[in-house]
Amino acid sequence: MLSDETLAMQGAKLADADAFAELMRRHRKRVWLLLTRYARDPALAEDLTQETFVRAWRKIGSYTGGGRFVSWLSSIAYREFLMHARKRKEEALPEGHEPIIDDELSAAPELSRLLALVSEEEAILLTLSYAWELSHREIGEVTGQSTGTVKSKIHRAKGKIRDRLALTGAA
Amino acid sequence: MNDPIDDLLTGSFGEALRQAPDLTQQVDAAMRRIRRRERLRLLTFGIATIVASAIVALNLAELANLVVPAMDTTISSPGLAAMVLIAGAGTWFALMLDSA
Repeated sequence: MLSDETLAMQGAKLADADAFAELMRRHRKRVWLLLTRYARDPALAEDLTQETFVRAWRKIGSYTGGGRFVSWLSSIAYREFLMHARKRKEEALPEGHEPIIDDELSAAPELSRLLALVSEEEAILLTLSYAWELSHREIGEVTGQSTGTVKSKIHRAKGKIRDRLALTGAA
Repeated sequence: MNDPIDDLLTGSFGEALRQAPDLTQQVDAAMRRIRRRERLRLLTFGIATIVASAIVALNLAELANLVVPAMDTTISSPGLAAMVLIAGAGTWFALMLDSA
């Protein structure tokens, strides 16, 4: 099986749509999971996932093979997330509104319950760390923060989960 | 010793990925859009190639007239333009077939 990076270079240098399609098949669920942090509605997250794939193809030429493909793709998905989150803010939703996934709508209520214990930013960082399996350095590159900041925010988020679960006696 | 919160998060994210919708339809739909966009890009490129070829051909004919006034290319200009047009169209079709 070809590595992500080899397929991505085929997509970038040869405009090989089949190689790109294989990459999207491999990472489709990760992209969707990140975008569910924005969209309350899983169907909307599916539409945004499709949008992210099209955007990734448009930008595939910028992938130089210098880093892991998954890190590059996560930055495209993250920007898609930010763009829609910004748009939603401009659409005059009540202040302090945060996209919390309804347990009933979520494919994984256990994860929703855990991520509801942390801030939206922390939930995104945890998603990039645990679902995308990015290093702290890679997450820093994707979100525009230093490695140290990412590390401390993830540490704090885990602390919050630990404390709140202890309070409720769930862990 | 493993951090239990680490294990909990790893397990929950793993489960969420397993439970996520299949999404192959989204991948297929995205690929259809991508291929359509590519065809449109090639179409635009092809038309631009043909137009540019025609302009170059006509200018070459004009240039030939200037350099060698005795050489009357007024008659051959359309022929030359047609040849380059055919070459441009051939390139375009080859690219279209390659992308199909």
